[in-house]
Amino acid sequence: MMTYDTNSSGADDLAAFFDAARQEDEMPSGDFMARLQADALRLQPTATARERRLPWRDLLGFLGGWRTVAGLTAATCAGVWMGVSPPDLMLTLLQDQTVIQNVDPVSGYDYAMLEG
Amino acid sequence: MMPLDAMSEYDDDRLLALYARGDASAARALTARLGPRVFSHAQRLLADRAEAEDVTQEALLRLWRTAPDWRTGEAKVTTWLYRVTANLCTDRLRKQRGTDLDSVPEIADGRPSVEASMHRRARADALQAALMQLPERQRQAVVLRHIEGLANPEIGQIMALGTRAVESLTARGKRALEALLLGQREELGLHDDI
Repeated sequence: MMTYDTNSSGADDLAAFFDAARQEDEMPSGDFMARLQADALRLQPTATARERRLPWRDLLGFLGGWRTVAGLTAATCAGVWMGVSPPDLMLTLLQDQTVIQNVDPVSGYDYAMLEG
Repeated sequence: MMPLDAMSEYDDDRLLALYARGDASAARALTARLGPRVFSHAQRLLADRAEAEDVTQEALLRLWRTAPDWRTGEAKVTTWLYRVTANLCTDRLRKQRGTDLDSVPEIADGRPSVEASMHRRARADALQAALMQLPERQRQAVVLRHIEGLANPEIGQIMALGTRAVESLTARGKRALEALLLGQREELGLHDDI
């Protein structure tokens, strides 16, 4: 937005200088502009390169970046490994859990009712 | 690929997105739109045409490299470019400091001139010379506010400052410019045409 400040007295006094600077704006030469344009075209991503890089980059972005993806990968590998070759401790815990699952808590209630 | 004329209605963000998709017309349109603007700003901060060209080229190279990852709507392209340009200018001024004082243009010597265009040129030169005597940040703030015509909040984004700090910088810059320039008003043909 072009909002030239000419309200204050200082700006009024200097306005002629600022106007002159805008009007006498130095323009870049044609050769230089051609160089800039050549740079822009040389560095421009080609459509095919962009399409080629899109799937994995977009997926990476969607998942939250490479750090998140690395964490997910590690967690997945650990899960698979524990499934294929579970550690002894885990087997023990699972067995304990099985025992616990066989306890019938209602039976205690039944006894309590009988005693009452 | 779209004709260049059709691109004039697109904002910088849109053009940059097209550039990143490989549209050559967008490359040309963006260069034509932003090249002169960056050059002009660099020229005002450096007062050296060759240096301003180098800075412009580098700033735009950075923009082209950033284009594929540009997040539309987060920052204005021109705000980003002004910031990069100012940083590049600062680097160059630091390298020059104390070694190249002769290259600062002299304040107009008050030769009588009857042609309005000559007066205008003389005023622009005098202003540029006076700007080069300001501290770098003051110069940048004054140029952005009073020559580029940007609003204070945008200048704040460019210079990483709050709006009040921008106001303070431009006010101090203007006072310094007044001290440097207003004594020459008559010599620069300002006694009867403002």
